[in-house]
Amino acid sequence: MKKRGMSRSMFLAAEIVGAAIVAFLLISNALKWSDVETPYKAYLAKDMGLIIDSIFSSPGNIIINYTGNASDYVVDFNENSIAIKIDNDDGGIIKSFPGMKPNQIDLELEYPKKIKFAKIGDEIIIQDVVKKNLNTLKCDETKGESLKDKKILVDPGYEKDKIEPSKEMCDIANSFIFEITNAWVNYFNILSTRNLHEYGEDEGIISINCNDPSKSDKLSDAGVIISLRAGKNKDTTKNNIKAFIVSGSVKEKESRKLACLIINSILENKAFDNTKITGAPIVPIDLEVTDKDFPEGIKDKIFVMLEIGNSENDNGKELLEKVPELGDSISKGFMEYGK
Amino acid sequence: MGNRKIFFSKKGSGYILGKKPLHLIIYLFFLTFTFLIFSFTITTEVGSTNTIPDNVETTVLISRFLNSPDCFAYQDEDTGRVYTGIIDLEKFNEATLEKCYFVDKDGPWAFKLTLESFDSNELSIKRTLKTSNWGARRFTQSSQYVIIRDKKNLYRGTLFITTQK
Repeated sequence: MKKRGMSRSMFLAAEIVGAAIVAFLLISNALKWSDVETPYKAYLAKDMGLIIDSIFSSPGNIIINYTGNASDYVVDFNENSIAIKIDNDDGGIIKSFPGMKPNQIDLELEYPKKIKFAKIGDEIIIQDVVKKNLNTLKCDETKGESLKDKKILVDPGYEKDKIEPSKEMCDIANSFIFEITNAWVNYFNILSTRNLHEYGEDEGIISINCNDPSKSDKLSDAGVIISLRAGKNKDTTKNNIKAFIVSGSVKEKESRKLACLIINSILENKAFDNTKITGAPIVPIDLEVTDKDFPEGIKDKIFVMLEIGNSENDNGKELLEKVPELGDSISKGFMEYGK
Repeated sequence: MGNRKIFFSKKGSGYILGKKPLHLIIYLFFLTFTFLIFSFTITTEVGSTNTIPDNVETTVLISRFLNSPDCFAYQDEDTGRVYTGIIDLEKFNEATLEKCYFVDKDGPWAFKLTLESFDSNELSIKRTLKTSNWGARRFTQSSQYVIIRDKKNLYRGTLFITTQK
């Protein structure tokens, strides 16, 4: 009788345990899904997934300020999915999206107050603040040739219809020369369209004489030519950085890459974060039809003419006043090419 | 009381396999089934509270094929400009598709893309590509007029897009 009672009790216990397990699963699952936050998490996951799809569909650079509020969640991005979680232990609501191999994502944002989605070149950026400039160019990835032993001609230019040299351009050119000769360029390899200051050979420094209006004629040896001009655009809404290169030159590809690296280096400089730059194109020029004032003998050399800012516009003037910063940025782009 | 005699031996030495364990199995099976139905219903209900219309999502995904230089859109090497809607025939292959539409086997939205040129005198082409998650399931089909760039020449063409959810 006792054993029979035990067996009956075992059945009863098994039933109770079974029911308890199923009830627990039902209730926990119900609680999980009936949580008021779950639909919002699902919404965020789908919405952000669609934004990433849109970014992948963009033909060029794009920055999107996300307007949804994800500040109460951990947002976990993987190469082809996104998870919205309450915390790191939460499995979260997951939305899959088709990834793109050159632009893989793997990051986690914890309780982000703001989110910006950006595609700049090949890079996908998802952060609260995107410092990258929308005008950033995608540069040719092939290795540039070494410029270490090349003669480098720096042309600070003359303002059109004036004999006096442009003070800003000359100062920027000197800042550029200072930076590259401090790095790995031998000062013997620096040439200019202007006369240079005469220093003793053991001083190891070189600079352009900005007060001497006469032109130098030592151009033919140069392997690389960097020309600098101040932009002058009657459209006062424009404040561009343009890089002119020679179309059809045997060194067009190299010139394009150098121009691209210099422009990107200027755009990445934090000193210009508060200066609105409206565009940064590379413009191939046909020398036979252009009215631009180019130095002579540039046809088949690595040549970049930078036109910086806009002297008709406050932002443009502000940009032109940042002489050491511009010299530093141009030299960084130059050295990245020729290292 | 009478039924109990059937389930237990008279000596009380144990139980005989009978209705009671069967009831237990049916009972557990029923509970599990209820649990699954319950979970599925709630999941579906929550999912349906916010839905992106299918055509919005597919339009965005299709524009990836036509607009992105990492997919099939033609990009001018000299200027870097991307010409949306112009398909670079050199890029229209499996290798490019695998890079530009990287998805798991059970990933969402599969596509079959067939590029045809009807400039038959100059360019005769019919090329089909499938994303890696393409399967034999129900699908919808649409088409779009495109321009095909082949060896610096431009031709009229059609891209047939078969979409599978």
